Amino acid sequence: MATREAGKKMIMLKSPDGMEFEVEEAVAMESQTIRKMIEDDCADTAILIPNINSKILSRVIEYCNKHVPTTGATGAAASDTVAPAALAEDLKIWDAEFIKVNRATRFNLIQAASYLNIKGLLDLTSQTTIDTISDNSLEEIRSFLSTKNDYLPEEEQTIRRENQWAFQ
Amino acid sequence: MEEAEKGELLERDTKPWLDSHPGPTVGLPLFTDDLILEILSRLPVRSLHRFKCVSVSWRDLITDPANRKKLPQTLAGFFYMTINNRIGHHFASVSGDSAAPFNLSIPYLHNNKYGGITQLDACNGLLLYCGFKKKMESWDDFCFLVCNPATGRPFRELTSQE
Repeated sequence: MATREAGKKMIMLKSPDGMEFEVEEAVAMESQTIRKMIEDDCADTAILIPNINSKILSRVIEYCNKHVPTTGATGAAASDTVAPAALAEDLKIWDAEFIKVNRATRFNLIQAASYLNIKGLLDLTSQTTIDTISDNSLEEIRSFLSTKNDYLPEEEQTIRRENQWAFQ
Repeated sequence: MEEAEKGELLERDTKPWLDSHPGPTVGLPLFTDDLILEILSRLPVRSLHRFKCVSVSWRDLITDPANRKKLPQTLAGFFYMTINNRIGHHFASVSGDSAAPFNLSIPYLHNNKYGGITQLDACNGLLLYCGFKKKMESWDDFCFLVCNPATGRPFRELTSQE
């Protein structure tokens, strides 16, 4: 209660490589996983985020910072002055810039978004990946997602024949 | 036919695809099946069918009935019966034969131990049939059958508890 009176309640997030990030509770709660920990009172000190290195975690926090709803105790005035449509448009442009990262970073962001359960970020990262590869050839898709073609040659012929319509 | 397929599967490297993944050398994180599904669920249906050809593990993920609800589906067509001297079972594809997500000859409708079967109802992609013996003498000669045409597996008989 004391922290709330002083301003915004802060949460400490720790990455496995030892970096600490102090973020507002509202920002951290963009992650449903962290929200659950906070609501279950498992977050009195720092929250260790396993498997997400500091570089990726800082990007995730950047995303949550941008996407935390501006309405509420402090943001009510802001949303009165800015039209919701303009706000959404601004977010879209910001997202498009945010996701201009290399493949490894994007894949790490997908994993992080999934583990931390941040729907918006998972939608953004997965959709961008799909947009990149949906029209590519099978070989390009395999290479992009480094998946091995484990079909036997005759099996591949059969499955291709069965799904011929999808190639047209 | 089915046994031959099973034999082949046993010979194949059946490890999950992540194990045989180049992994560290590529420097990309390894996705779990759940994450791959999450990504694939955003594909348009046509691309999804094309992606079945990427690898056996992807095909298995995409065709697994347990994942159907997560992935986009389209209307494939209609089942109907014709009754002349004998009952005929048919499927009318709305998107051309090659587009059907299952075997259109519906082998289990023509090749089974029952004397005859009639279609009764359909719900959530499952079909309810009544199977009967040629000579019907008691209630034991009737049974209700449920099948999922998309999996192509044989009928499941409903017991009285169900």
